[in-house]
Amino acid sequence: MRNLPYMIRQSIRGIRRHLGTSLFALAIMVFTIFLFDGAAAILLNLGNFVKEAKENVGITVFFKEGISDQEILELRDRINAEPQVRRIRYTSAEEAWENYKKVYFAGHEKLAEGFADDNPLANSASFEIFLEDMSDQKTFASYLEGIPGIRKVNVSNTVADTLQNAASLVRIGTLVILTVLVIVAVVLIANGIAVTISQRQEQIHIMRYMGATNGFIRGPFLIEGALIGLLGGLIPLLVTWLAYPPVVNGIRSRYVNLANIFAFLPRQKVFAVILPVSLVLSLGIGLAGSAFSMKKHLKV
Amino acid sequence: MIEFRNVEKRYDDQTAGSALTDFDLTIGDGEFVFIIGESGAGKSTLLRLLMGEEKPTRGQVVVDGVNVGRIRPSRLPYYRRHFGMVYQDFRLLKDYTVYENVAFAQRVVSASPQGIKRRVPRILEQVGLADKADSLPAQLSGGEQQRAAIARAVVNGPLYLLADEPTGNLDPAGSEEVLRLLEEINRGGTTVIVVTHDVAVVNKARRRVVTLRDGRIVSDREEGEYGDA
Repeated sequence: MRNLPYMIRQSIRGIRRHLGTSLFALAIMVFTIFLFDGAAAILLNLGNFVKEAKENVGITVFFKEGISDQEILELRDRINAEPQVRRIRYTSAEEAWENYKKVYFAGHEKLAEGFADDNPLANSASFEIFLEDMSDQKTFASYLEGIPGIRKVNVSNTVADTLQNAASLVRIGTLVILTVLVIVAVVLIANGIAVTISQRQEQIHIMRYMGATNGFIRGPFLIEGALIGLLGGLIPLLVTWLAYPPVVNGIRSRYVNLANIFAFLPRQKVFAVILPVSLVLSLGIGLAGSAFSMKKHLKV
Repeated sequence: MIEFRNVEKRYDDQTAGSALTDFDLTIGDGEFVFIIGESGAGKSTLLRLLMGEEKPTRGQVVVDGVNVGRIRPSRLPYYRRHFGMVYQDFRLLKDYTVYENVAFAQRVVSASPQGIKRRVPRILEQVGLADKADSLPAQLSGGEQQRAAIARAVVNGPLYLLADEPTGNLDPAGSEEVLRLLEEINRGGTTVIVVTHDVAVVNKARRRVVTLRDGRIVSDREEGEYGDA
């Protein structure tokens, strides 16, 4: 600990000795971590959308013609008794028509008046069933189809599936690009440190003969990598912190419908995840670059 | 005390003979010894074995009862702190001042900042470089650079001072000054081992002279002269 200020000074000297390589490594680090931060923010929001979509999408069940109210009640109790069911909601034909009118005749209510005494959705009374685990949907739909009194079962998972597919695509794409960038960043940092090691070879030799411990010799190189790594992590974090609210607001104002359906995560919530992960990742890349270089070039 | 007990050192890529063969040498505490010999006689190998940089192929190098070849790598730095090292080419850190070069040796052994501030000026005074503390090595003469290197070697109070051709790059006046300093350090109780080709210095000092040839000791004389063998 006593030698920490010395080691930090040495590592800064090292960075200045090969400023070009250091800046290049820093630029790649910034780009890598910025990509990670951006992708993480998108993925976290997509994950949240998927969660919301899943919670709001259920199985819709329509009844056979002429089914009595009593039979519907019995059906509800039977389905509700199944352990997979989280919640069941009954929508009468009248409610279905009212909902339909709200969505499709908004602003043109007069047009709907023609159907006043003849509900076009007379056979559209339904249950909306929400399951505990969405992966049970298909099996549960088959089970419902076998129940007498049920005419049709709709499994509507499109939104959740689309979002999930989009999230997977973003995740895979990010992972591939990140892997390449992380390797490039590690190699660049390692190269910069190799330059410092080669320039300090004589000093290292003298230090060894003076009785310097491995930690004392390796410390400045580790700190050099850690400094580039941390700086390369902090810059994109700051940019993401500043850019997140305007970007989210921009999306909200441009895609009003999307904003009505899905809520974007607040900045604090996103940063509770990406701040520690980014710092660990950037520090890890810096230290890995140092360690890689020392293993190859520094014999103590 | 330093003991080489029946040491043989053979390098992997060595085709003709060993670097050291049947090598027995004892150097007592507080001695002043010159090791002389032609290039390839085994002088550098002797220093490397002593510093634990190489292990003997056979035999033992024992320093103060410790078998150097068996010191664990993690303990080697602490063993090396018993030695101070002086080189022919000084090996001062070019972008450090004289003061910083000497302080650096203290920092390596984790000396306290107060200790460094107290000890470094005293050592610089002892080697006659108090007024050059803020100079860079390039601003000093060869003799002054070697004195700075000696200050760096002894600032941690080593038991042994190893000097590898310390006068090789110096003029006669500089050589004489360095010899005087080494003798002064020796009088303080430090064992001094000087590997050299410098006839004048060896003959002037009239100290123990060990002559090596082809990895063997061919002569070992008290108050010897260059070429006694």
